[in-house]
Amino acid sequence: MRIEVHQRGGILGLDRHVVVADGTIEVIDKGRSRGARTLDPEEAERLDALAAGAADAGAGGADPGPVSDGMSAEIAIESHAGVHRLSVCTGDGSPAEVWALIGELGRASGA
Amino acid sequence: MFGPGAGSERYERVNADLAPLLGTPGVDVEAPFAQAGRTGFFLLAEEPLREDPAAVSARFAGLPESGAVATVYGTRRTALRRTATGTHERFAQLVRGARVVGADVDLHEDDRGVYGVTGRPLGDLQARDPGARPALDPREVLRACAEHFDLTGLRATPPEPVVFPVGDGGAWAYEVRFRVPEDAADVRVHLRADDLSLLLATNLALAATGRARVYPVNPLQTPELVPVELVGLEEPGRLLRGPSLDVAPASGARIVRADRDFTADPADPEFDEPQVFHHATRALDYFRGLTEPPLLAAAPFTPMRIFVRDPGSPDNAYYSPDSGEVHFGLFGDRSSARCASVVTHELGHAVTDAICRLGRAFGRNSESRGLSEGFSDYFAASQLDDPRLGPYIADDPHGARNASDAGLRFPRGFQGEEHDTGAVWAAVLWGLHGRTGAAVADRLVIESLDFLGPTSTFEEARTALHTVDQRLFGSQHGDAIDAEFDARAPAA
Repeated sequence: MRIEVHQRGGILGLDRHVVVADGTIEVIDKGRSRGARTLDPEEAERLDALAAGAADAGAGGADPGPVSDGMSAEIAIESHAGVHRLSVCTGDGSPAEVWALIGELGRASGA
Repeated sequence: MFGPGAGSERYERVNADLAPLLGTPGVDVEAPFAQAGRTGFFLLAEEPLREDPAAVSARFAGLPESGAVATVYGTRRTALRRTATGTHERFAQLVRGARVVGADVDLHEDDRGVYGVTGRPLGDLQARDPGARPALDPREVLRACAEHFDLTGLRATPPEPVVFPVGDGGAWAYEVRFRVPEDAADVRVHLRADDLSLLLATNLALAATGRARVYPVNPLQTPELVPVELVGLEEPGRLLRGPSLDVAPASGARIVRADRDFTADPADPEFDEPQVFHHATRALDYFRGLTEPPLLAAAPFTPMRIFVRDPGSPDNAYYSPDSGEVHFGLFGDRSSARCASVVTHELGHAVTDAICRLGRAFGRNSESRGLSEGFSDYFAASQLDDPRLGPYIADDPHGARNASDAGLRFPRGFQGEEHDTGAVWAAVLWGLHGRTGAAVADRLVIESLDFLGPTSTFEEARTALHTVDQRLFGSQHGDAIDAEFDARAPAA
């Protein structure tokens, strides 16, 4: 499974790509790679499970209204079934599974 | 150290005879009113008096009905409430336009007229006149106030000249209100105007006080936990909830402590609740020192709802103007609720939204949203006297952003990601702070917000600073404003 997340905004004003592929994770902040590292098998398995859950759950789509420090994320989850794309943002009612994936990627990347 | 009200006695002092404040010397009771109780001052009328309440309130001062006297002595309505028992109006007695301490007339009305009078009016108001108003420098008054209580960095209301009843006469005094969060004290002080001696000090704080151990700034910069009082809890103080703040986890049960001891292990998720309550209380104290009282006594601060460990906010913390809620998420395993600068930054959004709706721009990355971010960064820097924003959540001692970065410059056309342009605006304000000092810079910044709105630009924000400077300081700081802005202006 390949997971790619592009986070933008938030209090840090992120422009961050996180790419999980072939058992590695790479973080690219504002176009600059912070390097890649090999995931523990347990981490990789957990991320795969969360990605599958996020793909099944889908995005929220509600109008979030004005949000100070709101964050958006474009997510692409590629598996043998094809590529699943999600677009979420703060306050749009997206399911917990989607945010859990983003949170776990943050932990795994050490970002 | 932490007992309820600990430290509060320090602010209770009586160096004056309070009899004139507690009685009604010189008041004549006339029909249709009659004393309803054996003691005290509680007048009722069987047949209500159909007369203008303001005129009724003036009757109790014992003044001749002459126009010349009326210009020196009088009453002013200070409160009005409508309840099931009618309308209740409070009038303060005035001498030379100043309130007389303790001298209030409360009128109680129904649809037939005034049926009751309570309060503590003075019936010899003319005898209380101390002559011409004093004209002391407010800074001198505040300095004396701070010395009386051995305080530094006093955040107080501007001193208000009042008449203090003394014996059979009156003396000019200054009334000052200030809070001391670490002592859970909300203090009202009266200082004699002629020698700034202390007449009376009263601690008005009624809220419950809890305790906890917290990181003073954040776990990276101040890794030692310290004991603190959590002030402003609603009685009985079992929850982290009060008139201004209501803290809970985004999911799961909130922390409950019957003994008001909210101490938790940092490894325990519930630690974040008292931690953010502490940071948010300090931030609100900072903003209270800058803003007019009604602002933080209205939504969304009544109370402001704060959620910690929000799984829907990974790598983020945010403020929602529509709901008035603040959400703090985790950055990896680091909770943003533990970072004081992040907490003040988010509350700063609430303040700027309440004043001028700065963050409600049309579309992202507008200049007004950049301003909103920049003001929030600045408020955090000024409150903590540290230009670093979020060093803990970024796991970077330099901070995720740093208002002292020399290289910060607006992009061409002021166009850029709102936190990036905001960082430059924060640097302009932080530079101004360095040139003028915190008090002046904070005043310029907070007052400038009233000239801004959801479509404002950075140039307009500069003009707003100049406008405030001209009106408050005679344009003393115009060169400093321009120097800081021009140093970061976009390249031509």
